[in-house]
Amino acid sequence: MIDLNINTKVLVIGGGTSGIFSAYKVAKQGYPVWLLDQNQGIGFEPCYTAEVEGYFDDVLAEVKRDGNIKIVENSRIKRVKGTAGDYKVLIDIEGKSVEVSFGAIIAATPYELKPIFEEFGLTPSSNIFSLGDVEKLLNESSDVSGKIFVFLTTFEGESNPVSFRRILKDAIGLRNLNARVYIITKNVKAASSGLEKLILQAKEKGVFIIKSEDKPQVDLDGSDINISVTDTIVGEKIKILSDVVVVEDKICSNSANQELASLLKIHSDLCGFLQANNVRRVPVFTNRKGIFVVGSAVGIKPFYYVLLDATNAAFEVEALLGNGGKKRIEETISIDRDKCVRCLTCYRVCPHGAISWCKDRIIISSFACEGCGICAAECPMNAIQLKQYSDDDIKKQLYEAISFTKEKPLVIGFCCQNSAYEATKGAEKLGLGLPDGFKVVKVPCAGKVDVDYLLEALVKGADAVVIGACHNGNCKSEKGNIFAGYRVENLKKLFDDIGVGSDKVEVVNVASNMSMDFVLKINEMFQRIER
Amino acid sequence: MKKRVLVLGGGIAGLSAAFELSKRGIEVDLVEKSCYLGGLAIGFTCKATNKCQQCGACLVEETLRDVVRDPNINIYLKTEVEEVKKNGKFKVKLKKSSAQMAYSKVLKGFSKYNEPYFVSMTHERDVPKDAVNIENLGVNAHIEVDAIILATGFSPFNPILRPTYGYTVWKNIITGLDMEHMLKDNAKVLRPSDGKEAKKVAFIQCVGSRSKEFNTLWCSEVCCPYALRMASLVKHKVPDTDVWVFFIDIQNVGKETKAFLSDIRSKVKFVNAVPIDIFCGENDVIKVYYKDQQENRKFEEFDLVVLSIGITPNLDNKKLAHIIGLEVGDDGFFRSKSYLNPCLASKDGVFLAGTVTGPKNILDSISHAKSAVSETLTYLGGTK
Repeated sequence: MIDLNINTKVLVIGGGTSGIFSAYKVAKQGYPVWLLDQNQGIGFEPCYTAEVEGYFDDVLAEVKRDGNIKIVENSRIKRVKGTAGDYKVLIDIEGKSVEVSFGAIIAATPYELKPIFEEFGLTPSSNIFSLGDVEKLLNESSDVSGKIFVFLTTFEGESNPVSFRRILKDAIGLRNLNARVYIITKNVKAASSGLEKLILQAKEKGVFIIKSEDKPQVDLDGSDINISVTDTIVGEKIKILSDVVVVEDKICSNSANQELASLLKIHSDLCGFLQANNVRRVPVFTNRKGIFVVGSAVGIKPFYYVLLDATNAAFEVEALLGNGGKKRIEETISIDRDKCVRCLTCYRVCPHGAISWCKDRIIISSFACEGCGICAAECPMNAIQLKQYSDDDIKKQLYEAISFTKEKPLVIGFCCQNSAYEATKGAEKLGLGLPDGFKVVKVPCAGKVDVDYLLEALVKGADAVVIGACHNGNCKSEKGNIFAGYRVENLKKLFDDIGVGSDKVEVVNVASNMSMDFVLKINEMFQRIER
Repeated sequence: MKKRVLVLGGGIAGLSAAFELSKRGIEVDLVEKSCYLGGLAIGFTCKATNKCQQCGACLVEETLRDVVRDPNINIYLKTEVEEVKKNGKFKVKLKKSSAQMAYSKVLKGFSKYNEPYFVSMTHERDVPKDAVNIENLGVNAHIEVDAIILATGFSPFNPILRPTYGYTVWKNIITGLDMEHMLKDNAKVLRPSDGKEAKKVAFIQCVGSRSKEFNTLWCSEVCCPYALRMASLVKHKVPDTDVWVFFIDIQNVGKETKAFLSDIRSKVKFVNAVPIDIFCGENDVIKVYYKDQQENRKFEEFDLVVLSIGITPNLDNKKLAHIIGLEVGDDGFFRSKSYLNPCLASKDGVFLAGTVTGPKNILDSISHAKSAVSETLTYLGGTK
C-alpha cells in the first residue's frame, strides 16, 4: 500500500469561454480554483458571444465575485512536476515565479481568431472588414442601407458551424439595417443545433448564399470592390460590385498549446489542439491522470459542447480528488532495484507520465499508472513487473495454451484486452469459426507483448504468433500498438535473415466489436500457414 | 440510504449514464423497451482503415460490457414506463413493452458480443445455448426512484417516406444503418441481390435531413461523418471500388477534419446534387438520375446505393412527454430548461441525455450523458 496526499486545489489554464466555464463549474463542486490567464483580463471569444449574448454577463460576474476562484492574470506556466493529486506547478506571474501544488489541472486555452484577409490577397481597410468590424457597425446601428456586403468564408481550409453561426447572425443584422448581403462559401456548415433554421431565416430575410468550389477573385479598383465567383449550383460566373468585403475569422488553436502540451506531457492533434485524436479520451481525458482538457483547447466546438466539457471536467475532478487529504492506494507496478540500471527507457516510453526519478531512483506512480505495461516490455533489464499481468502470469497462460492443444497448426494470439480479446470472446460465443488451433493469451495492451513472449511461444511449439492490437489511433495508451508493430517488424527482419520465414509473426489490428473481421483475418493467416 | 435513479433507454447515452451513476454509488434501474441493450449504435461497424477513424462504435460495446457486469444496475428489457407520479420521489409504474419485435431483426440488432442478453424465439435456428426466450422478457412492476434520466434516443428517418428513392422496392438500395450492419456482420461490401462484391457504390446524403417537406429542418450532423468514413473504409477494403457521394453541403468530420476531408476528396467522386429519381435496371443495377450544373439530366449506374438517413425525434417522444409530464419542442425533440444547462428537462428531477434533445454522434452522446449524471448528482445533493 502507498499513502498519497491529495491536494484539492484545481488549476484552470485559459481565460476564455472554456476556462471561465470550467472554473465556474469546478468552484460549484466546492474546490478552490486558480484561473490562469496569459493576458490581461479574462473574457469570452467573440465567436461565442454571437451565440449566447446575455447569458454570459452573469457567469462572468459570478466568477469574478466567487471567493473560491483566484484569477491570475499575465501569467505563464514554466514547469510542471509530480502526478495526479499533487502536481507542482511553477508559475510566472508578472515576472515573479511561484510554485503551487494542484490536485488536478484543466487545460482550457482559448481560441485565437484570425481574420483571413491574406487568403484573398487583402489588407484590412475602411471597406475590407473582419467579422468584429461588422459587429461594431451593428452595435452602433450605422447607416448601411443599400450598401452591398459580401462575406467570404475560407476556401483553403474548412469553415465550421461556430463561424457559420456568427456569419449568419452578422448577415441577418445587416439585412435588418437594409444592407444587401451575400455569403460566398464552399460548403454551408449546418451541423449544429438550430443552425439550419438560422440559415433558412437568413435566406428568407434576403441574404444570398452563393456556393463555389473555387476561391472567389477579389479585385480592388479605388473604393470599388469587384468580386467574381463561379456559382457551383447554377454553373455560372457571377460578378458582384460590392461596397464592403467581410472575411471569416479563422478559429485557430491557441499558439501556446504546443508548449503547454510539452510542459504537461500531454498529446495533441494535427491542428494543434490538445488531446490526441483518439476516442478513448472522450470527453475530457488526456493521456495523463488528473489533467483534463475542455472546449476550445480540444477542438472547434459549439458553445453547447464547451458547456458539457466544463461540466464533465468538474465532474471528473470531483471523482479524482474527493475530499482530498490522505489516500491509500494499492501498488500496481513494481521495479526491481537490483536490476534497474537507470537507463530511463521507462521514463521515455511511458505514455501516461507516471514515471519520474529522484536523485538516482526511478519512481513509478501506481496512482498515475494505467497498467499498459509498455515500460515493462521495453525495459532492457526486465526490471519492471505489473502486479496483475506479470511476466510469470502471461507465460503461465502461454504454457497452458500450448500444453492443452493438440491441433496443428497452432497459433498463439497475444490479444489486447481492449480489442482483440473481446473480439475473440464474441467470435467464440457466436460460433463464428475461429480455428481450433488458435489460442488466446490475454494481455493488458499490445504494448505489453515482449519479444520474449513471441520467441518463447515459437520455441515451445507454436507454428506462428499474432499480436491482436487496437487500430492505430485507438490505443488507450496511445502507442501500445505501435510498439508492438516495431517489435514484430524487427523480428520479421531477423527471421528473414536467418531463413526462418517472416510470416511466423504478425500484428492484426481489430476493434472489440468486430468479431467477424478478426475471424476472417485469422483464418487467412491459417490458410497461409497451411500452404 | 442509497439513492436510486431510473435511466430510460439502453442505447449509448443510457448505458453511459447508468454506468457513470453506478460508479458514483447510485443504484440504477435501466429500462429498455426493446429486448436488447446497446440501442442503434450497437449495430454500428468499426470504420478503421489502416488507422482508427474515431467513430466511437467500439465504445458502445465497451460500455455495454461494463453495464451488464455491474451488480448495481438493474436491467429491465422489453419494458416501458406506463405511469410516473412525482411526490418528492418518483413513483414509476413499469409494464411489459408492447413494442413488436421482428425476431430475425432482434438477433441482428442485438449485442451479440461480450456477455450479452441473448434473446430469440424457440423456433429460431442457430440459437445460442444460453438464449433467452423473448416471451419471458419484460416485467410489470412499481419502483420508486429519486430522479429520472431520459435517454430514449432517436428514430432513424424512414426512407420509405421518400418513394422516389425506391427503398425496399429495389434490393440494392440500402440505408446507412443497413450498411453498418452489413460491414459489421460480413466485414465486406456486398450487393444484397446476389451477394457479390459491389464494384461501384453511391452514397446519397441528407435523406430526410434539412428538409421542409418532412418538417426536419435540421442537419443530422452524423451522416456526412458516417458516410464518408464508410466510403473511406470501402476504398480501403477494395481500393478499385468506384465510390460516389451525392451531397448538398459536406459537413465536418471529427477533430482533424481538414486532413480527413482532403484525403477523402482524393479518393471519392463528389457530386453536388440531390438525385431526382432512382430506378432499377437490368441485373439489379441501380440507376441514379440527377441534374448537373447546366440542368442536364444525367444518370449513373451503381451496384449499391446507400441512403444516408438522418436522425429524427424518437416516435415515442410525445407519448413519453405525456407520461412524464414534459414538453416537446416543435421539432419533436425534448428541450432543456436552460441554455446554460443542456441536461435539465422542464421538470425538476428529470434529466436529458443523448439524442433526445437533437442529433448527436456517439462521442457527444457519451459527453451529454456524463453531464446529465453530474447534474443528477447535484440535484440529489451529492454523494460525498
